[in-house]
Amino acid sequence: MRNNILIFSALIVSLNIPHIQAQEVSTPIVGFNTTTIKGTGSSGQSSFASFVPVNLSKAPVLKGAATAAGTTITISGASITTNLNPSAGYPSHYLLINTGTGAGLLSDITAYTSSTVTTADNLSTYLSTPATVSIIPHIKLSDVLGTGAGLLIAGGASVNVADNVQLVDSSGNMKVYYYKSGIGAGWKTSSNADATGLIVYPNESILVYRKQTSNISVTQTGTVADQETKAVITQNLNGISSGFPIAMTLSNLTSVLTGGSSVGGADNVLVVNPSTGKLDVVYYKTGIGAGWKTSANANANTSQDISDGFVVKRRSSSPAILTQNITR
Amino acid sequence: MKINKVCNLLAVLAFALTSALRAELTITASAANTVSMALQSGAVLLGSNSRVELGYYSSAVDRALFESYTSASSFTTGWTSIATGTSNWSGYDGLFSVDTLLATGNNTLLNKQLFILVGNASSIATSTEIAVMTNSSWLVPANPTGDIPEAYGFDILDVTTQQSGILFGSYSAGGGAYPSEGVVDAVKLQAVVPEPSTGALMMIGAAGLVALRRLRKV
Repeated sequence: MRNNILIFSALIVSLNIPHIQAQEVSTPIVGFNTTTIKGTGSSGQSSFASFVPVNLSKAPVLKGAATAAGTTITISGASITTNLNPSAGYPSHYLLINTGTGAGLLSDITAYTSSTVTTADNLSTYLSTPATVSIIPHIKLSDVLGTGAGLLIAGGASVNVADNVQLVDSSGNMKVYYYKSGIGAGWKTSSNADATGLIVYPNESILVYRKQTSNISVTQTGTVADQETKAVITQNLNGISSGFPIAMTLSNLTSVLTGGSSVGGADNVLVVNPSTGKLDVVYYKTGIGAGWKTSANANANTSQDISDGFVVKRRSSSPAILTQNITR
Repeated sequence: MKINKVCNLLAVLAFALTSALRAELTITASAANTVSMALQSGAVLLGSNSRVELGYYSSAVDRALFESYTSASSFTTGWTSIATGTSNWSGYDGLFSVDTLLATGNNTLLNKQLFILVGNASSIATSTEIAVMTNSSWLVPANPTGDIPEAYGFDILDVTTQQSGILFGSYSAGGGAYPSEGVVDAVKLQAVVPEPSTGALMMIGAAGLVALRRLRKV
């Protein structure tokens, strides 16, 4: 994320009152983050890949102490008036655990009452003692890449001519989307089903294959997580970005993913090759000559900033968790 | 008619664009592994002048076939090599890594069973010792769809669970290749029994003549 600009508009106010008590009052870090989607330039290639990170969130609609019984979360003193129901088949809000051992874990909200929400996942293990949670609106693909006159990438009459966007679905498969222009304009799947409400999760990355020659800047505004973040990496593909708009490299994944003696036995990480605009497969090799390697066992570039995004192909059915913290 | 032609052209263009976007499949075979297994000639690790090939045979092969061969060049009968290297990966004797990239849309190798062919010289044909390995799981997978490249890899470590896959050569537990690194097992190459050469036949003939002369003296 070398070229990204993050302007901190945080108000970190320290009140040092002599002889009374030292207090620190802080507000979340709010700002914007600019990412470049590279065009094909003069390369003559049909497309060029870039990742767009989603690591700034919308403002919470509610924050409070919560306890859980199964998938039902009771938020102390809450009087929820915002409509938290899913919309057009997509969840509209998620619940994020802010404190405790589960800090950083989140789950879609599937139903709610004035003081409770029902989550898609059972988070009760992490809320056995009251912990602070937030209810946050989801970010849609259209929030990031625009829609209609505000569309940032190139739409087209079909998926074959438009810039392609790829997101990993809940089954760990990569799905292709594009913005259809003309009659029936809007975000579509590759088979032209409506994808207007498609959401992008926090810590997720959007893989964009740009077919035009020119670069595009995508500016996102929002709140930087003020707690640790957790990206749960499940079997098969996972599209991930850094939990914070700060640089990270493959070395940040060494202790998280499973290495192996060969590329076929280890978790694979797919990163954009900045020269070719294609994805390279790398893995952590264990044993003799241990280290990050390409699929052909050459040394991988361990200094490349991959915070904008990467794809993990997880072999094991046991999930891995990428936990990140920010010091401010 | 013009409209139809334009439509056809667009369809071809769309197909070409879609095809161009699709990713490749990297196939890697290695012995650069964690716990076991290096290539050895007797007790000696194979060095950088040894040949490793990844490929497949055009028809079924088994140990009996290879045992019947009397020349190293016979091991390449029906053989198609798709990647080559030496048994000196990253400076380590006895270890190797060979790979190939299959472009999408060109996967004529789908489901072919892969073999590792090793010789103790710079080519298989000039080797005096050879090893042939395969495994029932070493099958070329389908090319990826979409834009996501995939990598399929395996190594000779698999012979610890399927030693019948060593069709020529032998598995040697505790070979002591890199004990300090935890690599203690080996696949040992096997000598190719040479066909009696013309020279050897003449020597046998000469010996027979000497024997005859001795018989006449008696």
